[in-house]
Formats: sequence, C-alpha cells, structure tokens
Amino acid sequence: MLGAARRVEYVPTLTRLLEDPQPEVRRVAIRSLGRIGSADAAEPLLHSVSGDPPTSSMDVSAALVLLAPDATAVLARIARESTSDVERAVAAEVLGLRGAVVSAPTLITMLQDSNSPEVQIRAARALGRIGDPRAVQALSEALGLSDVRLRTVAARALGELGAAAAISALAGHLDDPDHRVATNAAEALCRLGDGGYHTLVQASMGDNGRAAGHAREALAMQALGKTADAA
Amino acid sequence: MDAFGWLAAHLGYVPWIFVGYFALINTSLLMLTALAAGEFVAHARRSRFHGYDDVFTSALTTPVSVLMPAYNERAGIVEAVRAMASLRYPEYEVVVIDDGSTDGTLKALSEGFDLVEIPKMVPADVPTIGEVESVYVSRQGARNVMVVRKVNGGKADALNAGINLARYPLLCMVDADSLLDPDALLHVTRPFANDPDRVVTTGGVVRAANGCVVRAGRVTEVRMPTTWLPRIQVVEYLRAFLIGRTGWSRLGALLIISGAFGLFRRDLVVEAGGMAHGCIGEDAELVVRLHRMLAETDRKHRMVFVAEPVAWTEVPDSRAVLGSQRRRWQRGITEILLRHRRMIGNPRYGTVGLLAMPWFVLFEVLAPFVELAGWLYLLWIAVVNSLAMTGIFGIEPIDTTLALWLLATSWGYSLLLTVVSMALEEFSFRRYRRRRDLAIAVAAAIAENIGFRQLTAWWRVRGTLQALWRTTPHWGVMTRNGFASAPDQSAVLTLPRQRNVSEEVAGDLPDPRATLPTRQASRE
Repeated sequence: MLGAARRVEYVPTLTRLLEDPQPEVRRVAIRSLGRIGSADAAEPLLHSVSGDPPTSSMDVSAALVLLAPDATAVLARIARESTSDVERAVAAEVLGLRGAVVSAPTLITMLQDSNSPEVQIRAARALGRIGDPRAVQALSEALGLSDVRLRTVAARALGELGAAAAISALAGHLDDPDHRVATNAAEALCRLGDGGYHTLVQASMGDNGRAAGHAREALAMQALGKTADAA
Repeated sequence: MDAFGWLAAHLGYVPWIFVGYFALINTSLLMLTALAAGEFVAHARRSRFHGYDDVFTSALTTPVSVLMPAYNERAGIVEAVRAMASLRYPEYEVVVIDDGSTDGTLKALSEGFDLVEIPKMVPADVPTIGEVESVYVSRQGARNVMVVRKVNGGKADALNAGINLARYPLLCMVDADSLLDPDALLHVTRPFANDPDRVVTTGGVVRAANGCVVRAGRVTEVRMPTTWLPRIQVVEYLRAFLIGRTGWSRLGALLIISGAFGLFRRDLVVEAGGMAHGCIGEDAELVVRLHRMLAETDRKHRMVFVAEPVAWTEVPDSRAVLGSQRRRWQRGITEILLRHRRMIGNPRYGTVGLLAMPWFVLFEVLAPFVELAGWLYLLWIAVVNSLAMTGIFGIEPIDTTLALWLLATSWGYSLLLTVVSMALEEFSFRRYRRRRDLAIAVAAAIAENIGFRQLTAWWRVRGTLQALWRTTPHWGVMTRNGFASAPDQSAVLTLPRQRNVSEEVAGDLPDPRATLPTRQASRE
C-alpha cells in the first residue's frame, strides 16, 4: 500500500522494513521503494544486500533501476567506496542497466582493479550495456584473464560496444580454449560491421580449424538473423 | 501338524515387528506431511508477493536452456516443442535432442519449424557416447528452438549432448511429453533469484495428466482419469511428489528431482561430469552426486522443491507397463544407494547422509519386502484359523487382535495419510475443482489397498533384487495413449492417439526414470 501511494515520506518506514525477518516483508518493501522512486532509497537498498538477513540482489537491482536520476551518483559512489563486494557488484549491474554513461570510468576501474570476479563480471556486463568506447581496452585486457566467466562476458560486451578497435582482440579469441568465450568472440565480431565480418570470413577459410568453425557458425547465424552467444 | 503348532507358538512376536515397522514408516510420512503443510502455508503467504510479472519483464532474470530429449516422438513432438517454446519467461531456449529416432521425429520437427542446418561447434564439457550428427535452428517462427540430431546413446547421453550445447546458466530438463504450465519457469527459477549463492537445483511438482483437457500442449482443465489404475496413481503422485518431496525439501535433504521437470545450475552439472551413463535413475543420481560433490568441497547449498503445480505427464494405464515402470524405479533407487553407499549415515553429508539416505534404505528399499512378508503372515493366520475351525488337526486358532493392528497400521494409517495429503492439496492449490473428482480420489485412496499395493510391492521387490543381482535391465516398448487435444470448449479427452515410446513417466518417491530404449541400454 505504501508503495502504491508513491509518497516520498514513506521511504524511511519502508527502509526500516528492509531488515524485517520475514523475506516477504523485505521483498514488498524493496518493490515499494522502487515504485516510489526516491533517490534517498538507493543507499539503504544497496546496503540491504549485504545486511543480516540479506535481501535478494535481484529484487534490489530491479528496484534500483526504477529510482530517480539522482540515484546514479549514489550508486557510482558506493561502487567506488563500498567494502562489500556484493554491494559493489549490484551497484555495477544497476549502473549498466540505467545506461549511466557518466559512470563508465568508475566501472572501468572496477573491472581493472577489483579482486572479486563477480564485481569484475558485473562491471564488464555494465560496460557493454552502456556502450562507452572508452571501455574497449579494459574489456580487451579482460579477455586475457583466467576467469572463464569474465572472459565470456567481456567478449559479449565488446560486441555490444560496437567499436571496431576491439576486432583484433576478439579475433585472437576465436580459438579460445573455452567454447563459450570463442562463441561470444565470433558473435561479437558479427556486430562490428564490415571489419568484423571480413575478419570472420578470413578466419572461416583459415587453417585454424577451431577458429574457422566458430567463424562459420557465427556467419551462418548472422545470415539467419540469429545470435548464438552465451549468457 | 506339529510344524503348524510350533510355528503358531513361535510366531507370536512377529506381528509386532510388522506393526512397529508400519507405524514407523507411516509416522515418518506423517511428519513429512506436517512439514509440507507448513511449507504450503508459507507458500500461500509468499505467492502473493513473488511479483512474477516483475520477473517476467526484468532484464536481470537468469536465462534458461530447456533440454528436451526425444526418441521416436514423431506424433506429438511438434506440438510439445511449440508449447515449450511459448512459455512465459523473458529469455530462454529450447534444445530438442533427437537421440537417433527412427520414426521420422526429425522430419516432423523440420516441417513444423522450417529447420535449417547450421555448422555448429559442439563443445565437450561433459562426455557423450553418441556423436552429434547435425544441429538445426528454425528459419522462421520459433526463434528460440534448436534441434540436435545425434547417434542413439540413451536418455542420459542425449541430456549430456544438450548440456554441451546449452547456452544459458540454468538447465531445465524436461521430457518430450511433459506439459508445463505457462508460468512454470517463472516459478522454479524464483528460488535461484532469492538465494543465488546457495540454490543449485530446483524441482517442480509433476502430476498425472490422464483425463485432463489439453489444448495446444497445455493442460487447461484438470480432471480425474477415467480408469482406476491412473486414478490410483493420481493419489500416489499427490502423496509422493507433492507431500513427500516438499517435506524433504523443508529438511534440506531432497534426494530426487524428477527428470520430467528439474532445473540445475549448468556450471555445477558440468563440474559434476553431467548425467551418468549406464544408470537407470540418471536424474536422481545427478541430485545425489551434486549433494556429494558440494558436501565434499564444503560448499553450502540448497536444493529446493517448488510446491506450485507446474508439470503434467501421462501415467501408465496398463498393469504391464506400470509393473515395468515400478521395477525400474526401484532398481534405480537401489543402484543409487549402492553407488553412493558411503554417504549413508555419514555426518559429513548433513541431513542427506544422516536422515534422507538411511530413510530411503529403511523405508523405500526394505518396505516392499516387509509389506510382502506382512501379507504372507496374514495369509498364514487365515490358513491356521481355517484349519483350527475344522478341528481336524487339533491346532488352536491364532488371536487376530494383532493382525487387526497390523492392518490398521498398514492400511488405516496410510489411508489417513492419503486423505490428509489430498486435503492439503485441496486447501493449497484446489486443482481438482469438481466434487466428483474429489469423490473419485477418495475412492482411489481406498481402492489402492486392494491389489495395487500388493502388486506394487512385488514389482519393487523384483526391482531391488535385479539391482542387487545386476541383471540385464528390461527396456520394453510400451504403447502410450498420449494426450488428446480438446477441439472445442466442451470436448474432453477423445480418441487416444497411439504412440510408441519406451518406458514411462515420472512418479513416486523413487523416481529414477529412463525413457529411451537405447543401443547402450540393450547392451547392458
């Protein structure tokens, strides 16, 4: 009811309910704060994912996306300063969903400097969603890191950026030992215009059987208007 | 005569063993029912706040790969895939694995979805026996359908091929003839969203679809079957699937997630090595193996059973097929317990090792033996008392008080359990809305005790012995009726269409199933 009323003065009451022992109460409080949309709710919502008991990061992310534009600055600050990896990961994810171009430098730093693979993965995904070409170098470097999930997300993000500067980095991973990274690299090249297309055609006719296979698959899927990349 | 007298004198304490055993098994089931009741109340409270519409529109919802292994399913495959491809879920794909069908399944799919072959790279994340021959996608229409044609290797092998080709982080394993409710994926993925760090697998309720009205691959009206064998199984499914598994889930010791509808984290399935080849109950075996792997690597985890009704499947309507099914289930659960016997009673595996697995040994593997022995004992009393009445041999009649106790604990208690299960279902979900259906269900609960239980016990004994003696499993071909679609609002199940598939359908607590007759199987 408080959420449906969409009154800002209910935010403190709902914020207190984020610590309620009943998960249903917490869930409804989160949803109501999202509906009200006040940026004041950003910080307590983010802190609640690392609270005791913790709230669902998915529910919180969905609510944070709905908050007023002022919330972006709060999210970026917490993404930079929080000592909780869970909070930083959620903040990064939401910044991407909000398309917060101004937070791209923060996300690049998170991708490059964080020790948490989860934070890095969310930052990479967010950079892809935002589409800021400044992220090409950081995402290309991430392709060379050991975490397979990060490499998979980075390859996909490079395709979403649509920057031709990523072509050589992606071409180098068409024969990546991990199938998903290679698939996403080929799929990303499909999205990079003529340069990506020609790279795939060349690779499909090359001697490297693995790279050729992934290139052929991506070209076939492109011809059918489909995507093959892994989430 | 002396032998009768001696036995009559020395078997006096025997009925107490039976009474104690049946009291224990039914009391434990009643406790599971109480746990399930608590879960249903919580579910009723939570369901209003789940916000499935929000999940449906959220970009954060975890994508799902639905794996549908199929073997000789030509008759119904197109409709089944079409229904599966139109569930309410934001991002998912349907991967149909044609495991070397010989009846034109692939041709039917090709015509139904305008398939075109693509040069697909196939990873080898988990081992497969049958080589993937070709991969197809739909040129138009179902954008999220992929069809894989492979050399026949069995259901586990087909699932492994699907696991390798799946793109998304969550795997939903279904049977080609499973009918899902439109919101099924939204329901079973919810625990992953609520507790993403610990939830590793979820399972949904599977119910008997015989007698239901099916339109466009969806159950649109729930009704009781028209014959008694499926009716009794409806009651069984309520008790075993809905109540039993919900109770075990509450205890954190869920051992079985049906292959007819189960959701798994792909990364963990790959880490565990995929589905086990040569195992009859590959779905239950995977769950136990995941428990074992995660416990041995000290990773906290939860396996959640979702009480919301979500999947429907056809149950056997002939005694021969039912017998074959129950022998396989029992054989499967026995083999799994043997394979993972080091977990039994081992505190390292938590409630699974200390509670669930010993319970399965005592009350699933041993139960049919005890039940048959109980019936033999009652037969013995009847014989002795009949002879005593003739007075020919001069033997004394046996006091029947204990025999009545035995009947009360085995029949009366289980009947009570069934009625409580049905009442809970009615209170929580109200799927059977017609009073006539409820009356039939009560009658089926009574009829279950006359012949059905005794036969089931016999089949289960044979299944366990087959597992212990490692005999060659029988993978007989059965004729199934299939689901008939209602052409208009008034029509119900009409003419059954004939469909040859091998074995059957999800079921009771021991739910290991293998639906495909395979070259691999026939070699075993």
